Amino acid sequence: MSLSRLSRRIIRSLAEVVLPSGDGAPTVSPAGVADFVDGYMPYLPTMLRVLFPVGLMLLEFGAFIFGPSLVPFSFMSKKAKQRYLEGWATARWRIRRELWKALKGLCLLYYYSQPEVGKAIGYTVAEHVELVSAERLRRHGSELR
Amino acid sequence: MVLSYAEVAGKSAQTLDADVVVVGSGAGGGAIAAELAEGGRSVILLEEGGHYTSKDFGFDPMTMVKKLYRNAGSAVILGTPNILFSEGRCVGGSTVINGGMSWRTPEKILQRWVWEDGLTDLSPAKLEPYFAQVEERISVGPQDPESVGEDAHLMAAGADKLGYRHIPAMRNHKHCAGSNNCGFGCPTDAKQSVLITYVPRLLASGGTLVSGCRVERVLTDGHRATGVVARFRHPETGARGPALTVRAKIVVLSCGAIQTPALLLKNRLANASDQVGRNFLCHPNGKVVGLFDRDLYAWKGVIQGNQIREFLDEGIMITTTMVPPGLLAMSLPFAGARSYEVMREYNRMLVAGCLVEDTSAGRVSLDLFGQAKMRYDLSDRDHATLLRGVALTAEIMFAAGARRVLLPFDCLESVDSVDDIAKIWKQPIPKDMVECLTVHAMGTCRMGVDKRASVVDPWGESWDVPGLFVADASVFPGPIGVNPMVSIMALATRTGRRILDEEKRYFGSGGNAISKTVAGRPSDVSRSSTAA
Repeated sequence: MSLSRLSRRIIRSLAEVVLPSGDGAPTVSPAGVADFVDGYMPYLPTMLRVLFPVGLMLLEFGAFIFGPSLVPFSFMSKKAKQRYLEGWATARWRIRRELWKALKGLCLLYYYSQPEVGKAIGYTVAEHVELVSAERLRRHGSELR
Repeated sequence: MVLSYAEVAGKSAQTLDADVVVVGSGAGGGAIAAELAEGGRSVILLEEGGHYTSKDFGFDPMTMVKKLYRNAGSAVILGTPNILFSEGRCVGGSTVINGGMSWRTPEKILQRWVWEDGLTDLSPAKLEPYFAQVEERISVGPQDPESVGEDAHLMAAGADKLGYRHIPAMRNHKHCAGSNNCGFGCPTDAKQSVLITYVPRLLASGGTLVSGCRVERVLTDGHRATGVVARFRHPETGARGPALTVRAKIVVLSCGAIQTPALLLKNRLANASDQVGRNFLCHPNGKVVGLFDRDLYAWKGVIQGNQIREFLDEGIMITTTMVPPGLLAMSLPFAGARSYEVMREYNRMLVAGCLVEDTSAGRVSLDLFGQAKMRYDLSDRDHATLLRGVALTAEIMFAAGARRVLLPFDCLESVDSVDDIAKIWKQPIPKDMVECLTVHAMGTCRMGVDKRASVVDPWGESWDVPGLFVADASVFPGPIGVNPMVSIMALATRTGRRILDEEKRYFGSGGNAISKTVAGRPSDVSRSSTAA
């Protein structure tokens, strides 16, 4: 485990808002996102690995600077978190927008890569590959051997 | 012989000798390694990433990016805008994870290199035999009709309505099944990547493949290149293994246009011109998503079935490029319930990209940790070209029947009709509001005839360090406007042939390299090279 407990808490809090829920969306545990990001960290370029926790701290305590709250991000209510993150998505300061995109992207990559989510949106790639592989062999098998 | 981290972990430092050591097993490294081995030279091919086969390829993006991509696909080219960059890091390099697009360098580009850069040996006629050999080696041909997806058909129909020229994609494949899993390794081995073409040829000719081994130093005797020092590392965990020294008469760097200049800069080599890492080009791409009223299942068919070439002279190339839901969702401007609201229509989506032949040039340098750092700012001209490319892609999608088109702009998420496209110009879309990505890096060790303005000579050899060659997209003097795999392979093959032809100079053993060519190499290549 390379992420601190605080970093994991921030990621879980973020995932609570970013991961789709309700309206037929499969429910996926935000805790899984923290595990995924933790496993992803060693692959990042060193510079990003160093800056990533700094970015998380900026998100956690940014409300003091960017407002409008004196509560750290992970302690906000879900509605307050949503409002706060909307501010990040539309911020004039590009670094805030880029950080939001990166963190949101990791959460959604995790969510939509879950087999139950793929199935819910009709993406059944394993079955498709099995089918077309068999069809390829049926049509061209003699040539491929 | 095949050697990997697993076989040497826990052992002491190793030393190997060869005529040639090639660093990097992608399009350039694979092609030149096989060419030299088949020409009778002892070759060691070093690859930093792991050696995976189709049995290891799967469908889970989270797993596959860690296995097959450098930095698990997380690289960013810093600038305005920031550009996401992906490249392969495995045996076969980016050819394992690309879409298999196999285009020759356009003639207008080669003419430019001849006229403007003075590279007279890169004319279409002189490169023809190399292109032909590469196309034969990697089985280039059009897609079988049954595996072309609905997305490609729709884009073609939209282009037809508007009178825009499109052509079927040429791909390196043997009856591609249309699994649309190119980005995570072909599960059927239909895609003829370096992994299953040039690497087996290298091994069959007695060459050695070493995987999980990162080169840290290029050795010289103060004048000539004499080998490399590498370190075995577990390709996934990064755990350190023993050092490996390869002593060789020729060193070929084929690490791609980011890692090759980084290695040279780290070693303070071959940079008397101060051009190493400069002239960084990357074909910025904008992604456009069309939403239709019916299921398309665009992921059930080959990733790129055709290309719209109408605007190639303007520097714009448009193609379909469906990606798995996880990768698509992360790049869309939605989160939470809104994300699912859009993504539940995944089967009604058509994803296309517009590639820009760039006129901007960035730079690769080293960061505080000695790792490659990329800087690239989109020029005003390329910004305008990209906006036009996105607009044209949206126009084609509406002509094909899309009801809504999602755009790669932070300040203009979508348009709902063809008339809405004008909003792209009506409201300012600053560069830092454009979402860009790329998989093409080029130009950072440019080839040239003037040693003050280039890194390598017209054959790919360093001006400063004899015996040190570059064989990857770094050597391109400029952008090529199309997918670069075949261009890289052809130039690498040409460099390999040059080394064989100049046997006495490089190996000191005399003899006629042509007499050593093995059966199967087209005779016109031998003739061309002899003449050269």
